[in-house]
Amino acid sequence: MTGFLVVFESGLSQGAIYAAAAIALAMVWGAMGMLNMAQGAFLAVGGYASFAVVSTLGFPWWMGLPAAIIVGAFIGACLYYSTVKWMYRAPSYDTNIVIATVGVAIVVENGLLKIFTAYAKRQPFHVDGGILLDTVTLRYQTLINTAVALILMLVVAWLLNRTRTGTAIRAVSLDREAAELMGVSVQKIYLQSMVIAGAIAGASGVLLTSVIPMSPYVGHDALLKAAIICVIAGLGNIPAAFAAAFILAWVETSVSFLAGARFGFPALLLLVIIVLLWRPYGLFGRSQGGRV
Amino acid sequence: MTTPKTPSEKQNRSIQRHNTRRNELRLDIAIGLLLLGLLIIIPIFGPGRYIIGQITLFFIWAGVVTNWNLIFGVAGIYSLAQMAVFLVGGYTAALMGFYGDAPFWISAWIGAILAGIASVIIGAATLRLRGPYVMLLTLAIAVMIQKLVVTDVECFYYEGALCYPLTGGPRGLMKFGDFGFREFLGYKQAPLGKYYLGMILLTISTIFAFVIIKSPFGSAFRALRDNQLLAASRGINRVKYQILVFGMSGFFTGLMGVLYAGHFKTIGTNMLEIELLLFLLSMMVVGGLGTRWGPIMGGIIIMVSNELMKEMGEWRMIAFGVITVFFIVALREGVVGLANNAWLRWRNRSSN
Amino acid sequence: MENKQLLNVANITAGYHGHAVLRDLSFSINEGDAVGIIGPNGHGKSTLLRTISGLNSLMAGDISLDGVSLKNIPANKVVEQGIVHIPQGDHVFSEMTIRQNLNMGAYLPDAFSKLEERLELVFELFPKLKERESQRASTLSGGERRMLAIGRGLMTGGKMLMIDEPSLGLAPIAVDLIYDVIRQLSVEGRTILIVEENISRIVDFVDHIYLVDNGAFVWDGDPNELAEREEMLQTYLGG
Repeated sequence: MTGFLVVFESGLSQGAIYAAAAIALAMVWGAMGMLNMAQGAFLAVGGYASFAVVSTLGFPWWMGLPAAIIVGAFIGACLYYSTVKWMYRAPSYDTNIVIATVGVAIVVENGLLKIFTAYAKRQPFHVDGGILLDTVTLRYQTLINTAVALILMLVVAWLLNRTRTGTAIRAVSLDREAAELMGVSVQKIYLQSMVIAGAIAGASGVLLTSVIPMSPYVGHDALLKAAIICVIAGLGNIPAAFAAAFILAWVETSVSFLAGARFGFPALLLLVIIVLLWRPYGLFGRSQGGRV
Repeated sequence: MTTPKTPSEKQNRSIQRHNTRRNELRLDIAIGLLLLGLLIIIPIFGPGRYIIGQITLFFIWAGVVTNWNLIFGVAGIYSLAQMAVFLVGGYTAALMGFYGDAPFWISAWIGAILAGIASVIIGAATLRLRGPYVMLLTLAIAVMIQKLVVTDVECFYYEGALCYPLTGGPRGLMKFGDFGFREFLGYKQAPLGKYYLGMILLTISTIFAFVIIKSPFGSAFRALRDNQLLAASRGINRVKYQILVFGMSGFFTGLMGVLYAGHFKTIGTNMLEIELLLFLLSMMVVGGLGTRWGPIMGGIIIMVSNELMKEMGEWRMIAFGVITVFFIVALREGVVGLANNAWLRWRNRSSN
Repeated sequence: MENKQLLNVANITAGYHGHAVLRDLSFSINEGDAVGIIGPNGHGKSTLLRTISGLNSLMAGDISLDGVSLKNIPANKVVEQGIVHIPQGDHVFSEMTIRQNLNMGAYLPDAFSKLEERLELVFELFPKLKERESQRASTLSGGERRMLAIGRGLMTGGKMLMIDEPSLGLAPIAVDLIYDVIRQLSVEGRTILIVEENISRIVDFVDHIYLVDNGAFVWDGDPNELAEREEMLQTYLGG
């Protein structure tokens, strides 16, 4: 029973974090066909933004999350203006943009390193303690993170399905030219997608660093896991990404529990390798673009 | 350019093409001999161990990028697993040396062959994949290997009180022997042995790469890269070419890995980190994706920039990031591509 | 009363990847006219429409709508100026419902303000669409998808409607229905430009026909003149 509770609780905690990160990645990948390798760096930025606003500027601890969201939105826009805006019409865009975002990731991470140094910081947006179940603690932080991830998912789903901007984003992801012929400005849509995704990434960063020590490279593994989730859930399918995040988190924690912690992440990597070998466009992907 | 219609026009066109190819070959040989000549005589001026070591490192990285360029730039398959292949070569030699006392000159070949096989496996895995999915798959493979090795802390082998994990674990592998230059040439001259070995390996590797690029192989790859359907309809067998290019590129990359292990006498999974990936990527991009001289020119530019920026701390990596982004956004054809364009414009102007 | 000129295409050259498909092509359309473009496949008919709507950029020449130049204007802005292009092959948003597709048609603010009344109009013209309002576009038949594409274009409004191959791939009954609607739109005074392979469908209501071959107009005239030009049609269209 203890084993199950441990696996469940840590899986829930991880799942919430992966869900938030995956939603951000899925939005941009589904809407724009872009695998954003700078997402990991954005997670770190979110964490540090919260830290800077609370610890340095002295705001209350819960302001960390909104601060990260705003900063995330801002760097999402920066990424658009520095790369996507110039590249999206060129050939091989979908692979060149990955290279570009790797470059941006390095710039951002080393920038954070320069500003904040490598010493691990504590994420101010955190709550200690939890509910004792048997011998395992269901941390309050886990509950908060799950709630935040759920809210993010609902907000994004509402945005995409009930607002004109969201519908336009979906239209562009389904058929770019057709959307243009309806008066949609693809540039504006791409910018909006990246701002939204950046905001969510910022929030995910706060969630991530509430359970892991903050460092400029804290987002690397989470980025890869988010990509795995996207491939398995189907690009841009937000509710599926949300569910898949928790399922994969439980797979990871189960494997860790049964075979040893070092095999948890490799198990997920092996899973995505197998999936891609079997279905080259992901489990539910199609060969033309994605959908959001 | 108008399409040639009459037989004599067609003949003129093919003669033209033949001449261009011959001139190109002459240019390549000229540049190659010039560079080689320079590199051969540099040690004579006694630049010191540090510079010799750095140029040896340049040989290694340029070798890796030359072979990576065949897959990434020429064939258009965006694999991010090149360093994993590199490490297969290096680790093979290191493990064989550590556990079996195998001499490097033997384990080098085994390392290269295993690296070639590993590369072929990766190439086969990416056969059905497109675009970012290739990058994701290859990245997953590389990270999986890295995670498994770096968390390998169980003691497999004991030397006195020291514990060694099977794969060397997070500390990497050391004390696995080397090329034996110290015994052969003496302490002072040992670096020169590695220097010239690196130079020879890079030269061979580059010649192979050039031959591939200029051969029907190369045009087949370019055709596959630019328009898969059209190439398939022309009967170009994608599977055969993909396996071949991954195999060859893997073999030479593995050799570079062995050279690295023999030169630094240590090898670890830190080579799979994103910083090195960007470093090598920037060499390829700045030089010019898919060009013949791109990897070498890019290698020179980046290594020199690296030296100049050594004291700059975090700004160094930031600069590399910015350079890479700038080139991939604005100057995709790279330095060599720009030079090519300038040369074509000059030639057109002088012929008009 | 003479109708004023709405679209003016002046000596345009256009194509793909630096390779020209249309060369020095000119024509104009007056308000309220229905114009047909015919010709063999692959000779530039679709390219012409794509160039007018801005999906393709002009290499030379100019296009103007109501006196406003459309040169170098991106496609989404051309729509704002008043050109609605219903491309070949429908391009409906397959994961969205009919209703959502139609709503997207009214994306621009001007169209959005008239959404309800236009929706009513489209449902009147295409009752089938009303029936299946909440169904996903991917479940529709070929004819229904065509109706949706045209309905969606009508939601956008615009001063001129361009339809690329409305009869392509459809059974004759479906084509009848589509052309009933198109004819009605023309009678109501809409300016329409149609690219059509099936000449018989358009000869009974268009005001003018242009024959395209190899990126240029080789003939233009009234539909009744076409009847006398059997030979010409044989040459270019293979009967």
